[in-house]
Amino acid sequence: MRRAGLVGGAALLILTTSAHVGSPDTWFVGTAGPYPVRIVVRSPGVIPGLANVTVKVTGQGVRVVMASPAYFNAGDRGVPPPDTARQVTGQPDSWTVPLWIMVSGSYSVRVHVVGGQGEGTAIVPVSAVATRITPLDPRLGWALAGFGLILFLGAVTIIGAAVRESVLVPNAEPDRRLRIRGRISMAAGTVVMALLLVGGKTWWNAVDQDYRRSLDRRWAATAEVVRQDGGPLLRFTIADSAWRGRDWNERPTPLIPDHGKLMHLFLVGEDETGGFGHLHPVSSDSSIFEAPLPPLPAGRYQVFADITHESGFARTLVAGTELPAPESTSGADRDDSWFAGIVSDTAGRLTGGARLVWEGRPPSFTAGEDAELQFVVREADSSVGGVEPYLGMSGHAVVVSGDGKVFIHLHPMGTVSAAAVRSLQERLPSDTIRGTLGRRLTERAMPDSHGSHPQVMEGRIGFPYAFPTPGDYRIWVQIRRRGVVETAAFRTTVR
Amino acid sequence: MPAIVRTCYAVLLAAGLIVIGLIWDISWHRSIGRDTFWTPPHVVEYVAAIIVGVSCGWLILRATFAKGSPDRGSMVRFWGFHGPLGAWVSVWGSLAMLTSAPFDDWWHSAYGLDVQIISPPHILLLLGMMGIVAGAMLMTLAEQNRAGDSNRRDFSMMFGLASAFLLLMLVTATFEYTAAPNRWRGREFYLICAGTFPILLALAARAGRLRWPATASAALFMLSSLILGWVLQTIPATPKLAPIENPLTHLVVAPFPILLVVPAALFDLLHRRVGDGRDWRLAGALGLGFVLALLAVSWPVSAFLISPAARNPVFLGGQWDYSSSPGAYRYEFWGNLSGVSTGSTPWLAVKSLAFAALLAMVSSRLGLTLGGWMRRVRR
Repeated sequence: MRRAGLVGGAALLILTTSAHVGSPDTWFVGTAGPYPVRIVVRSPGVIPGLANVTVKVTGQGVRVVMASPAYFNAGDRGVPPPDTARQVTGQPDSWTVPLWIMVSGSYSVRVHVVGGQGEGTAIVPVSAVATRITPLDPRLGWALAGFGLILFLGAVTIIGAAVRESVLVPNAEPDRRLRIRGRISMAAGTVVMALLLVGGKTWWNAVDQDYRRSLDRRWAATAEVVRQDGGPLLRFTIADSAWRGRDWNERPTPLIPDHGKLMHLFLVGEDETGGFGHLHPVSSDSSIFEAPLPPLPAGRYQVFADITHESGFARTLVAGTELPAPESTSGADRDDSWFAGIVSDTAGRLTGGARLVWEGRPPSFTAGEDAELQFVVREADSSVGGVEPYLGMSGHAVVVSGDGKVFIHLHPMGTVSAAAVRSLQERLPSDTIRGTLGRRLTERAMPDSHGSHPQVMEGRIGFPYAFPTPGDYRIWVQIRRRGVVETAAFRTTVR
Repeated sequence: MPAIVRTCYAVLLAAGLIVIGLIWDISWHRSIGRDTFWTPPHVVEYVAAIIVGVSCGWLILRATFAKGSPDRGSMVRFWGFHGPLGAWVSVWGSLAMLTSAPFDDWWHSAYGLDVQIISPPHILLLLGMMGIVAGAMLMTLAEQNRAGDSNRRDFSMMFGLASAFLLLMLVTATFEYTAAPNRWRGREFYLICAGTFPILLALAARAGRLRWPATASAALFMLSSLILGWVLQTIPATPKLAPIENPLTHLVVAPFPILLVVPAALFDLLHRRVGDGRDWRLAGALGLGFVLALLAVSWPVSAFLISPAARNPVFLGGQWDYSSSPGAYRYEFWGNLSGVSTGSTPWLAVKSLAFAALLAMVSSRLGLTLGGWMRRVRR
């Protein structure tokens, strides 16, 4: 089509995504029955589109790896037969398979492994959103424009031939009158087809606009500091009509707690001297969440709030606020933590002379390339120290790009929210009423033991990830030792 | 057999393959969903495009470059080449089909796999397919119009078949708005049918040389649609895209075809009564007659077609896509003649039908003009 060339120059459009900001792919580390698996689901970007699933599986005699996409509420009968993954050449433990993601929303990708130790399935939550429109390759655009021009001129020529010659008896030549009529018809045909093309372009623009509207957009949210008797409070408000609208049926499913908290809120100082906070605001109604403000350095902060819907859809809300000079507060959640110290390249200071060391760090990172971020607790004598579970995990990492366009909250189990995994695992066919599954999950939630004998794990923590775009990044790693949450800050540059 | 006639058969065969491929492809998308370039229906469609390219291309090259080609006198000129008008239209169609393939491919990567029939690259594809079928129609017409009385009937039959294929393509293009019998009591159904089909029925009535040309086209259209449905529904199929709202074991097929044979018979009758020379008056009668005849048959028959009695392999009731969730809507009429959800009145319904009759009149008038030209096409 001729008009194809017109949009050839459009820039690649990438919008922020709900499930984490600017980082649409999913990492999952866990098990499929007896087999340890590391699964990466590369987002298709367009919906409906193909997501690429890569499974790294260790274990004896793995024979078959299969995967299928399951929409959260479509039931087992709504899952298509699984696709068999293909072994990656040169990497005997890696398997890959493309899967069609047809609608936006919460999917679970079911990865099924069959081998010498039997069978097992891993459920990977994928929050599917459309994030981009692929621009037309200029070469393809010009080729299409060329064909379009031939088709246009061909159609005009056919009209001329039809009027001028087609009704003549064999071997007769068209007279002057027919030739003139032929030319007039060709002119009229040109005008009509040009009008049709204009109409087609208008239609195309409308389709394009519709699609842009269906792209994932950032929900409106605000953050502000309010004064109360006990000290300053951070108030976070979900202001979006998608959440607060009156039409109950159109509203997303309710929120469920992740590690016992409805919201995990992160404060990130906009400059390097700024602090970092990990708070757990309590909801005063379905849209307003409040937490005592920790004594962080004053300045401009970005606010990222992670929530998980009952459907398993994980979403990050983004706002910004100005923090006042620090003052003491009371009544903070005992899992709240904050940090305002030195940002390091390789090692952060912990209490008691211990350090958190970024080990096996490559000289540089490349955008889009799989990178395992490995951190080790080194005691003062360089032995590996222990960590206790903090919010159900051996460690948390928060990755934020310098421009604030990438934000992600990582665990050793990947980018997925544990609540999403539970919601997709424990959903029953009878969970047809909103909130029933959420209530069950909340009742069965297991908060961290704050008792005197917490479980102690080896202090080696790995986070699977790939930096999505080039630029400067800051990473905060949080662990709990001897009942105290400790934070170390790192920085790196990604090419 | 002369080369032109051989090409005529080849293009008609291609037109038939195009129709089979298209109908099969739509069933494929509604039942299995997953799409690659190499699905069997796509292969059928592109084989048809290749048949057209090779047969018409050979005819054109030979007529253009062979010295003293006897066929050249019954051909038209195109950029220095010689070929029958219908062959040029078919070649244009296959080129449009080829162009639509990379366009559609990019469209999928830009806006996602399309789950509707009507999208800009699909319109180009449909235009290409219709070009091939219309080319077959024009080639058979030229043969019909040049033939002596003894062998005219064969070409007239072939023209009837080609126009039936074109009718099936037009019906398929409007599939999303007209196919479900649940729509057959709605305003939109009558407006779209009135704007789209009378042009082809009027054209067939005027250009065909059979005794009931429009009726034959419409009957062949309904028959081919039914045969395709009867056969395709026996092919096992499993949906391969999530979420599957409606689990399936076989291909779902198009519902019972629109009952165009009744308005078509009226067209033949009126056309014979009024004759040539009074086309405006004739178009007025055809327009009004089309809407009233379609209404008279669609209204009662649609009730049968959405009832349990039609849910069988013969009447093709209850055929729902893998992605359509169950609901009472399957057994209800969608929309009404007034075109409003509340406050519908007989007056609004009459207004809708009158507007439909006006559209059908314009469409018929165009069809009569085109048919008049087609009756004289000799090249």
